[in-house]
Amino acid sequence: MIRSKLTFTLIVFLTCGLMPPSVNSEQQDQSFTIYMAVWRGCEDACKGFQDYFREEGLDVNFIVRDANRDKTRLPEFVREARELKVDLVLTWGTSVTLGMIGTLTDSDPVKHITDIPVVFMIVADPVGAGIIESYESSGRINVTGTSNRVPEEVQMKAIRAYRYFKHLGIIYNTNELNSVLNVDKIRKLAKNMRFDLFESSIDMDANGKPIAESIPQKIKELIDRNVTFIYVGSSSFLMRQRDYLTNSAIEQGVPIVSAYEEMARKSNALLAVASRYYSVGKLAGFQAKNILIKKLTPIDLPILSLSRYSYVINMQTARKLKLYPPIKVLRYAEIVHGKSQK
Amino acid sequence: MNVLFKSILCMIVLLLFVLGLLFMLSSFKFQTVLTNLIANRLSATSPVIYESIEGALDLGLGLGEIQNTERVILWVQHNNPGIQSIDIFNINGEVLYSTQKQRLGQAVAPYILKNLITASGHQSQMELAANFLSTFKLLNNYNQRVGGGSIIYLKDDYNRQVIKFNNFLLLRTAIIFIAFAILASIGILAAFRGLRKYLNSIEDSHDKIRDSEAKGQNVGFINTNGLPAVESENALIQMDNFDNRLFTIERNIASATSALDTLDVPESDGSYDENRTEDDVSYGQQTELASHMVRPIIFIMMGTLFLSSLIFAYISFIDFNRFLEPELQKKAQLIALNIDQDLTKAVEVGIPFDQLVGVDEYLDSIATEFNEVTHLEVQNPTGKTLFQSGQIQSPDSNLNSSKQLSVTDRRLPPARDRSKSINYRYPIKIDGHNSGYINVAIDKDFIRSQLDSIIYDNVVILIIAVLVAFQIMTALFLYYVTGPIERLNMLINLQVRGNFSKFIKTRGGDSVGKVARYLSRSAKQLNAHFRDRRDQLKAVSGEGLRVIDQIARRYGLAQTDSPSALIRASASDIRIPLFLFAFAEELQKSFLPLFVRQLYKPNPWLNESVVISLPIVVWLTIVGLAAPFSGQWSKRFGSRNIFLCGLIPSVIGFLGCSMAQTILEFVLWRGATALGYAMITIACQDYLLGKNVAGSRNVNIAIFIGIVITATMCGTAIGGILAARIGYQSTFLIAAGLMIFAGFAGYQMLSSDAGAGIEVTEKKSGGLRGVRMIFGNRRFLVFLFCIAIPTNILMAAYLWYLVPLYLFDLGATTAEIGRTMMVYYLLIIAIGGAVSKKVTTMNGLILLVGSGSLLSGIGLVAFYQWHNFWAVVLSVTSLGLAHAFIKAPQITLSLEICRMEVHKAGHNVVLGSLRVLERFGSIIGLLIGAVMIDSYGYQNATGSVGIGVCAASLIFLLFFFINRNPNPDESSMLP
Repeated sequence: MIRSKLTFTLIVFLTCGLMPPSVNSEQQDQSFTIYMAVWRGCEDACKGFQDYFREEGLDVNFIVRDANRDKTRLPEFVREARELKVDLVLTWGTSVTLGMIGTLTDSDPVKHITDIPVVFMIVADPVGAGIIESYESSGRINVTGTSNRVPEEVQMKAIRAYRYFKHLGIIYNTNELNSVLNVDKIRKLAKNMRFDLFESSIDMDANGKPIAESIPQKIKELIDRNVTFIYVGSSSFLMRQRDYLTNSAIEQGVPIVSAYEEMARKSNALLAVASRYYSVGKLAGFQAKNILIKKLTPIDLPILSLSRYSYVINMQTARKLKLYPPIKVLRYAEIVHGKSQK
Repeated sequence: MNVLFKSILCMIVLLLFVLGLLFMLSSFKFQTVLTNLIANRLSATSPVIYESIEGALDLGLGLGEIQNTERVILWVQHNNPGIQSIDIFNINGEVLYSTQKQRLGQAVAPYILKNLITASGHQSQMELAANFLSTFKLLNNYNQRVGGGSIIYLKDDYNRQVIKFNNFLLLRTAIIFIAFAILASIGILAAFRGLRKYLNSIEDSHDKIRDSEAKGQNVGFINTNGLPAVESENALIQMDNFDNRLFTIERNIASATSALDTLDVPESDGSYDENRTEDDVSYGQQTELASHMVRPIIFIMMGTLFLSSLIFAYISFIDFNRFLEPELQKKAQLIALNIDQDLTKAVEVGIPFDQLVGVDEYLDSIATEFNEVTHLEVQNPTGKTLFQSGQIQSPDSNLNSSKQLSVTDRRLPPARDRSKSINYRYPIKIDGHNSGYINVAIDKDFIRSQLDSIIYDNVVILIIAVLVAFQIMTALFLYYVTGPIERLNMLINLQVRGNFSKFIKTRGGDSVGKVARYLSRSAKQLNAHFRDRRDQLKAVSGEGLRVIDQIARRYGLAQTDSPSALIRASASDIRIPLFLFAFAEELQKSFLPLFVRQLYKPNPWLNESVVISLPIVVWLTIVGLAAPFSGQWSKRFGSRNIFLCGLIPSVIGFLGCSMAQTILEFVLWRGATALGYAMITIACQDYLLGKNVAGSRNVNIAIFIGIVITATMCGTAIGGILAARIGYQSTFLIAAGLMIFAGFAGYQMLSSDAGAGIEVTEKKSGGLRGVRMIFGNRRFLVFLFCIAIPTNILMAAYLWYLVPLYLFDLGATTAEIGRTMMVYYLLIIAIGGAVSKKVTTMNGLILLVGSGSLLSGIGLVAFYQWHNFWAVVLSVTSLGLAHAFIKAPQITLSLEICRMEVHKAGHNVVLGSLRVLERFGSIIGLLIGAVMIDSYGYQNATGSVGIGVCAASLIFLLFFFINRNPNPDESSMLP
């Protein structure tokens, strides 16, 4: 439940020293406290979120808590957020979000936050994970968020803008549900968009864990099917193995295209079409502002996504593969390792 | 001579008017096209700026942190001379970057912010008094506006161009004007030769008369000295003497006017009308003569207007091209620059120039984006083509381009014909040295395509100007030239036969006037003289009085108000007033249903289409009801008065229409105009049917119909153009204004004594009784329901109601709607006359009318399935063609079918009843049509009506074929 006006005025009295006058057109009566629960440190999205408020000239006190990939710390965060009576909670990633607010069906006022507004971000599939009802409305009175997923169709079109392809290879990890779901979606698209999809899943060991060394072999299998690109849609495993994956692909003369920005930016994939995390963070900030300043109820706010995605091209890979981007995409692409950037 | 100067002056005024109008239209269009080109160019410039900024925003920079921005805007300004300033500002309107350093930190003008916020797209263009403004939004990657930009483009250059163009065009227009004015004047002078000869002969006869007067042979003197018996003898002797003198005079005049034989007098067409009096005997000859002399002058005028307009159009087109070309070049340069930028960026990023990918496709997309570009090419330093647009590629072939594209890979030459383009070439400089060229080919015809709409408008205006000129010139000539001549001839004829009861009022300074005045003076003197003598005699002798009264009767002297003015109204009197009035009335034709639809608010009782058809229904009803009453009024009060009175409801009605806010109001005012229309048209008709009007009734009615149709055509077309430019309401106001002019013309030109003496039927309700009568005629009923009513339905329901609405839905402007409807009337004017004269037999008429009606139905059915503008045009054209064949013959046929009834009750009753029934039918048809449109849509309604008409015509043909009259003699038509 949203706190009553009385509590807000109490906070005003409690907070000594007025905030600096806002240069913004929107009036801020007091400073806010936002509790940020992140999974692996305050990375780009987290920074984006904070920068948003700075740019808007809003005075916000951020309490950042890093779970450091440990789910067991989450209940502690819930307790702390309640004790500190923060104005808003921001959750980063599927695990943190599930841990702190639960799903649509199993949300428990004791274990989860149900009375403080919550904005989630960097959740790959909030509907699939059961966190929200739909992107139009979360269906939960105190929950809204942002989506960072680039729709699969957009990704395919973006890849086609680089080169028209008839054969696409996809490499994935059967161990991860999101990976399998992603492949399903691409398979369906293949029919409508008239391309042939060739799938290659990583080999599993006796424990059901993926074997990294099988990557080159899988790549070769796809090359034998004459694919133009090998696509990596959703797999934390492959993301961790990105350098090995992309280098192996280059050695064999085939480009990797990915939904992970870092694969192109920091590793050696040719092309990545992704939501920039920093922008997603800012977008979450925008949602938060609507709740705090405009006093809108989270259930009334649809889950927002970006209108422009990052199109990252790794020129070094392009040069190595002699697969240069067409002129058209250069207008909006972000070039990494371009000539002048050497 | 007065008349000569008057006609030359008139010619000059008309020429000035037409050329002036064309000049204004051209100048206006030039400005519009130039503005569009500039706005277009600016809209291609903005993306360069905002794409660059938004890209940086996506990288995470705040708007104030993008260092590249200043460089970008300065570069844009440098490459687009004419840009005064470019500002980039944040969401609050605070200028963050500017090409003018002093503006940093200032607030951007509120109107710029407003323009930005209200724009629906990413950018918008606006024309202001002193400059062009282009604004664009800066959106972050979740579509929130973070700021904006404005480009201000000075109008100095634009204004200079416009002035230069205007001056050039004005000069050329003046030259055309002077040249044609001189040519026309020479032509008119030459053409006046014939008229001058005639007038000279009158002058001669005038001199001869004066001579005979000098020799004491005048008639102004009756000597009645003496007493009764002696006096009566004297009087008799005097009478003989008198006759002798008259004979002498007659001879003199005859010899004078025998000069006429040397002139080309055409054969009169021999048609005879029972309405003619003896006075008319030589009328036919004289007006033939007059119109024969006048015709070349009119043709000269029309030809002058037509040719001068053509030459003007050609010259203005050349000027257009010349003055707009620099703008096209600037655009080409801009395109080349953008391509250069993109190519440079690619090279900077590390792609070797000769290994660029997807350039053909890229050039294709640019060529598609800019309509005027026919071809784009990138060449290497030696001029060899590396990449070009216009390649038709299947996606699969792109697979090959993933491999390196070598310079030797040749493509097929582009599809567009290169000879129709102007080529602009720009060098590409990468890293400081020449890397090649960009060739931008611009369509030569691009400018022409911008002008298309104005060319059509010009053509319409030209046709109408010529027709209007024709009407005005004809009217003026008949009023100022042949009118006086006619009257003079009448007077001469009267006096030659010894009738001195009439005189002529005239002020003309030419020989016609002089002679007329002389004769009038003679008549007056004679009458006065006679009265004195009579008074003298009365006192002295009763017998002498009787004799002198006998003289009086013989010579038409000393009637109660002798001499009385000779009245000679003619059909031409109504030309200008009626034309102006009908023209003003018909301005609304092309857009009335559209305007009404705008006023429409949902109504629980009637559906939309029916409500929209109400004004037309009401109009038809009121005109139909008011017509017989107006007939009565004009007989009682005189046509002229009813004409002038009829203007009151019309003018007020149109003023009301322009201000109407709801349909009810509009229908009310439209009804007023209908009343006025009925009064004025019936008054004009009765003017022509009266006893004192020259000419045969058929000819006069034909003139009447001709004027109305021509005015309808012109009004419809011009109304469409006006509405497109100044809006519906203003057009109504103009209609009201024109009607006031018509009033002035009517006041001036209509004779107040015309319109009297028409056959007054005893039966007051001849209308209804007449209707009942002809209803009994079975053949007439078939004709009515199968031909007459469908024809009227097609006109009222299809042409006036469905066509404007349907065309508007297809995206046509009111100007285009007006032009389409104009075709219908044009065809009727052009072809109608010729056809109706050829067919004379009853069977022939039946065939003609039946097949014409069938054709009109086919015309609708054939094209109804195409959902496009030209389908409607074709339908209207075939309708016009068909109706041209059948409109006039319908009347003749109906009179023939109702021969018996005509015999019983006269023409007027039969025709009147026909009209009432037709109107009634078309009202019903219109309502049914409205309902059909609502339920089935325009296309299906058209198709159904077409099929219905076809069926009806087939029934008609079948019926008359079965019942055809076996005796060919009885079916002959012409008396």
